[in-house]
Amino acid sequence: MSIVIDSISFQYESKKIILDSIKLKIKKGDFVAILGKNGSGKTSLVSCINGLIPHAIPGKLTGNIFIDDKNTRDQSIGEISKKVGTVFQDPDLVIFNLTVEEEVAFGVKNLNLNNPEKRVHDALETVGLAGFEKRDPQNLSGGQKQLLCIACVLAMGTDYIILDEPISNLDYSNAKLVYQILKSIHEKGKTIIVVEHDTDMVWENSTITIIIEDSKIIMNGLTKQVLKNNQELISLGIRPISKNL
Amino acid sequence: MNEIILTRIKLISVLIISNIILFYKDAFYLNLIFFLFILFYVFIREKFFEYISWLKPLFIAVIIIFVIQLLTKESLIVSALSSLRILSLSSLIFLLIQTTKLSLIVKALNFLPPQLSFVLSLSLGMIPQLTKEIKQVTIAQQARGHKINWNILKSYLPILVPLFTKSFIRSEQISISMQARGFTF
Repeated sequence: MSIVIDSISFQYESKKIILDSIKLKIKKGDFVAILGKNGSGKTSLVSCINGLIPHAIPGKLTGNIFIDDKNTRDQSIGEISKKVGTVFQDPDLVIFNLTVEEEVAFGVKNLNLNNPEKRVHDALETVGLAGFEKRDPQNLSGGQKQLLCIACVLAMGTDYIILDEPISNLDYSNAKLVYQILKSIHEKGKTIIVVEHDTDMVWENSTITIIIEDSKIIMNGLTKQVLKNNQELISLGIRPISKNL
Repeated sequence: MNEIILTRIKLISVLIISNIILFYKDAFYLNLIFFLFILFYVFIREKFFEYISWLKPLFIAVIIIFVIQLLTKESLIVSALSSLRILSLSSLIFLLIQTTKLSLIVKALNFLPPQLSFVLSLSLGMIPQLTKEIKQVTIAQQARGHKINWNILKSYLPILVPLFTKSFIRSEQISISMQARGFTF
């Protein structure tokens, strides 16, 4: 059970190459962090995993992506979302229901999953939003909205969870809280894939780190190995680890 | 010729043509010729996919209007004209956007009172931002298993609500930042 990316390249309709000959294997149970400069191809790489490329984002994709041995080309985004859940950077892009519980139940209903009430309750409890069921999501704080989005994905019960810069709009305490929750989810056996700029959080939490530069994977290995050299990180345009400074 | 003057001429032409499309009676053949002319432009410039995605949200409206007109015992040609008017008008705007930079349109409108030209330039500037956000919200909801089907209200609510929320937040932010930089009416 794993995600296998088999020599994929992707270019937008504008012919700009975004991903170039990417080969990657993500094993079930890994906590993977993807680092790189802005525009290096991090978000495009995760968009290949959750099927948005090639199904929703137009462009030319070569190579194949296999989620648990099934090619994403042969599945719709809806089918892939049963395996891979995605938390987007901006919660306001997603939230639209009048209550927190309806918001969490949205994905569960779309995928016709069993025990919707229990799933919603468990997901909200995991992210610490139990008791918020009847609240209006628009009145939550930025941190709580992001936790709500994580709960939405948890309720869908996917094996793989992708998070695209989940703490970029959050203060330190909320960012720490998000990562504590991600760590607890990871310990329950979920595979976490996070696109991130905060290397300190990556250092503390992830097991595997991938660095992308100019559309190519240039480093892939254990986090403590990949991120050990601050000078190298600075030269790649990545924030150095404060502990190692 | 000066680009701004050229854009002004273009805007006035769009205004005149859109009035003809909307108000000229028995304009079926006129509309048809105009529509075919735009299709020809789309074809030679290879903008076919962009054009289709531009018209896609209108197709349902066009079909509904056509059917309602027919049911109310209007003639086939009158029903077709109503649908064709919508297609021609939206194609006209497509043609304008494809051939004119937004910044030029804004500059061409600077003869208007400053407040009005400011509101227009802000609204026009929102179009690309809004288009980008529609794509982002649609993708985000698709990733949650959302599908667009025959139930229009249920299908578009998850897309429209975040879109409006974001627009309101942005409008408020723009208004605050303008006031903070000394803008008053």
